[in-house]
Amino acid sequence: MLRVGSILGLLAIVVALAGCEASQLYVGADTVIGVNAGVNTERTAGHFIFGYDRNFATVIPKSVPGVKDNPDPNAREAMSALSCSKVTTDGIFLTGFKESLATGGAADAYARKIQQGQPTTMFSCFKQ
Amino acid sequence: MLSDSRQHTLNLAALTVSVAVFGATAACTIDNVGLLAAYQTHADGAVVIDVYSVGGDLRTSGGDAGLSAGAVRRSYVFSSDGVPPADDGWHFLTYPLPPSDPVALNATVIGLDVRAAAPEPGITLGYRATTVLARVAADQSVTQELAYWPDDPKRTRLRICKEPALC
Repeated sequence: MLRVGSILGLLAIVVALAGCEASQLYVGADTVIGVNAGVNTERTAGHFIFGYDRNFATVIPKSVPGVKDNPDPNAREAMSALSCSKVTTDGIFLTGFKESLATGGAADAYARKIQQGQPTTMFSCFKQ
Repeated sequence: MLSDSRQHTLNLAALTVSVAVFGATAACTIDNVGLLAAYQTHADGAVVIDVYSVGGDLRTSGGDAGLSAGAVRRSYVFSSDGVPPADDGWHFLTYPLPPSDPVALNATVIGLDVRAAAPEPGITLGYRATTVLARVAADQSVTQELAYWPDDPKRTRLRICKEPALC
């Protein structure tokens, strides 16, 4: 009984840690075989999986302060991000990843450079 | 009717299996300390630490917080800045943590996995492989390129550009 109580206590601590997470950008993949239940904290949506599921996703914060050219200090917009992903698979498993990523001001700067045809040593996936 | 020696052998085998199962389930790892084996590899701009453990595995750091029970393999990719190559190789029971947070991580769990970290806290019973290639705070401006094969850490390549105008 004491052991079950300890495990439940640990679970409560672990789950409580989830509430401390700041709003962040994520690029990631998840493969599940079995039973899985989860909650998406960004969309306040849940899911239940029985069997096999695989996904690859980028989660971008929808509300970031500081909108360019907007004098309102409370103005917010989605986070700027420039991303290029290449995933290698082997059967049902994801085995390799190539990820190029720029966020915030760097994303704006790279988007301008690419649009103007300026050379960059990053983001080879956007080169023609 | 089994002979005494045959019965003795069976008892010994059952005892061995019992001890192994009990040891595996009673073993515990908390962050980078516990019943674990870790292998550190230097790659191109990155350091990869593969951590293997069995039994309970509790992680308290923000991006990787959670609890697992079963067979666990966790792989962390760090920037190689400030990590001495002398630390490469096998480490047992604990391993040296690089000064910076991991850039990417890959976790494979067979058993029970409770994940507390965003974006999807959840619980899994069975097999779960999770890879996080980037985790960036909303107000951060970063540029990075990562090539990562979890089963072949030597091929890992990490480039971080601190000044977009120069890259």
